Amino acid sequence: MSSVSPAVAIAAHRPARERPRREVAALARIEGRRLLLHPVFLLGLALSMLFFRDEGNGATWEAFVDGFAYLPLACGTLVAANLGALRSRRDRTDELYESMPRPRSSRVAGQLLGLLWTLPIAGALMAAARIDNSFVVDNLGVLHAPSPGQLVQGPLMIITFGAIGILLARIAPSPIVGAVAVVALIAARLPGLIPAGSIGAWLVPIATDVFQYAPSTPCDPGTSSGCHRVATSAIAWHLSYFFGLTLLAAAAAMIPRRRPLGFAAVAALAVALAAATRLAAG
Amino acid sequence: MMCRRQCVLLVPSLLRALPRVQLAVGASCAFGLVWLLSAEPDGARAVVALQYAALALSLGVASILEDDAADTVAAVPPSLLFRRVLTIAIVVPAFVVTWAALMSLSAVATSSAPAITLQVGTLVLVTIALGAALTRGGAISGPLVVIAFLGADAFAPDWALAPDLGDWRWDAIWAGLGAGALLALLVVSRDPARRVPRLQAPSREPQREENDRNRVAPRSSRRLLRSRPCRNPATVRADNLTMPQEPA
Repeated sequence: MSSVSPAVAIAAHRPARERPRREVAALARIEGRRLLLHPVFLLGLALSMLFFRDEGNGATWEAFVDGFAYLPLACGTLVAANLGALRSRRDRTDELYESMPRPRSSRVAGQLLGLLWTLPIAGALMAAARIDNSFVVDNLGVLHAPSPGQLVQGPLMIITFGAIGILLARIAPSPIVGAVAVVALIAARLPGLIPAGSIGAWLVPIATDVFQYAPSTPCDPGTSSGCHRVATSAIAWHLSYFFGLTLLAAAAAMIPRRRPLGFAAVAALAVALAAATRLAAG
Repeated sequence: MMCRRQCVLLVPSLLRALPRVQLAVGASCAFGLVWLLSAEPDGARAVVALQYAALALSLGVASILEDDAADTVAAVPPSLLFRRVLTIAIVVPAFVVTWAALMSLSAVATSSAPAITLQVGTLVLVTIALGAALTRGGAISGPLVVIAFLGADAFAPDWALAPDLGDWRWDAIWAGLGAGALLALLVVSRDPARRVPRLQAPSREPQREENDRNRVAPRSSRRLLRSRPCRNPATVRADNLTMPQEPA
């Protein structure tokens, strides 16, 4: 009596070819939690909260609408995201991760999606500033009505800085690079270094100057209230530049290694984006 | 003599272990910032340029005390404090030369030079102390100091940005901060294998020692203790067995 084993169909499981939604979502949860608990991020948040020292003139609200109050939080996000992206290199687990079924781009995507965890915090800061200065409208009337672009630019700046931090970790994997980038960005804002209105000022991903110098119109021309609405054309184009820069930084961070053509294409797109938005803004 | 011999042996190893890339990047950024910011002929921004250069230098030296082999070399005869002092002593001459070159490049006023030098010394000390205190703190301490300084620049510019030699508070704050950082560095650099004083009440110790001395071992243990000390007890028991003698 011969016994023959029945044929068993073996289906090759290729997890790398599946859509990595669940893994990326799980990684984004972990990376977002680690980002929010990072000491540098917490220090930036504490410094942003120091802007809540209202002197009764709406200064807090102005700082958050102009985006200046978000700058410490954005800098902290850049450094924390940079260090988070360099964690595997620091812990020397890169080779271990290479043995995982998922590609490296899944981990980078998780880190990029983890940046979205900063949105509730940025929104809460904006809401708190609005509540803190709500009485200023009634008493002094100096609080201008924010445009949607002004409400969006602060949280978008934080995510842009975070994406730049992750991209820097990809390009120059050293822990000093993120902090040096912060110093360079802040130094670029020093008066006189980059002339206002120049292409250099447009390239710096900080919207404060654009918002401060944008023309504004009264909300109700018939009355003498201090409500002003900022003109949105230049701001909208600068926000478009922000958004495109964030997407390009994310795309460049996800390009696999040894693909210089991909990097070159992304860099060319970034230059084209900056030039196009600058020309469109006039 | 012993110390000198240890220094001779340790200096090449410590030189190899220094984060040379970070030091070079920090110094290069410092020179670049000074060159860009102090380009004005009247030297109005020389102080600001030197402060940003100080931040870049702090980032460079943040991880000089990090040692990947810290667990391995923890048991070597030179203490942790000795090794760290030696590392700092290796870096200090290069740092002094770099800072002097930066000051000459920026053409800062002679009256402001001591205050700025005090500030950069304090920033570097705080960065190094923070990096020594935290686990793998070199990556965190530099950004923490940078963002804290820039925040102080925004919220308290009188004390962070504009050094006024006539104002004793400015000097007192930065000198006090530097002294505190140095003290913290000394505290966190104590040898982890140092003798730690016991926290138990001293009155109970003699009684416990007396009890230990008077404790009587069980009979079987006493027999084993009388045997040779390094032998396996099982072997001892096998040796004590008396084999039956063959009749002649």
